[in-house]
Amino acid sequence: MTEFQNMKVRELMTRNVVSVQEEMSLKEVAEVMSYYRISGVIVLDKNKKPVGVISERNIVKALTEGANSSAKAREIMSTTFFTIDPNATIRDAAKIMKENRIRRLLVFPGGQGAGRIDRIPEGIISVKDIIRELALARARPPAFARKNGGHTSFLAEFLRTT
Amino acid sequence: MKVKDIMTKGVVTVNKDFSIYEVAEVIARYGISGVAVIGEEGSLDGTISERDIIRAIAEKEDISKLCAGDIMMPCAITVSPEMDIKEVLELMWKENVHRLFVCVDEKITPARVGARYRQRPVGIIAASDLVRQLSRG
Repeated sequence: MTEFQNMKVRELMTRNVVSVQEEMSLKEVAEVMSYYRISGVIVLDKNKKPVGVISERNIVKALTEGANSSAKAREIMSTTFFTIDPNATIRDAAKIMKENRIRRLLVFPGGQGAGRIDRIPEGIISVKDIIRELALARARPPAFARKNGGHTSFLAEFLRTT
Repeated sequence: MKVKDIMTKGVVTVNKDFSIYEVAEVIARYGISGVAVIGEEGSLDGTISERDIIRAIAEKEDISKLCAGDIMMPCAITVSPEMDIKEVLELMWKENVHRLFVCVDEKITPARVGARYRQRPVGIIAASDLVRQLSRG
């Protein structure tokens, strides 16, 4: 297996997860997603507890069924959460994504596939994160250099020794 | 509303011999979710979406030698610029895809064979285009 496939989810997940309130309208949710240029958000109830997720696909489905742009987030979200452990590998994440035909996983200690969640996730990992990292994979310094602080220290070391 | 009103004009393309890293770089750099794989004569040979790359990472032991031709989907679901958005939504939902290539039929006349038609990609309509359209009201 390539080094890239063995990287940990924790190393490339997005830590700030964008959320919406369950009372927000479909139009407002679309505004949030376009504004942040993201393909999915988590839905929180009044007590800030996650109750669902809305992806582009949920919106396509809602529009297909003739939903009004004032429909509530609660009515169009899916309530299944797909989760993954922060220490799982990219390959594990890709497998869950492929098998369930989904594009993002919520990162939770102990997460491994479909499950319930009761608090804000540690992060989110989407196909975009994986592809961005794959684009960089060729240019990445080897693991021993990354452990000592990543690209910068590798470069510093290189400059010092040449 | 029609496809041509909200589609992204122009298609980002790669050749079959691009490596998986180069394909990922093209997708990441342009901030898009898929590319067209173009063959000789500029016709649409296949498509690579983010999902196809994820599938390769999940299934293959070693992805470092893969190229665009290995991971592409040989057929693409295409729509015409004149199609109604409602049909597009249904197609996306039914086929479980996030983007459709907008193609026009183009007549080509190779020297001896006589007239043939090929599908020339002119744009892409993605789920994110529909979300953006909705946010504008």
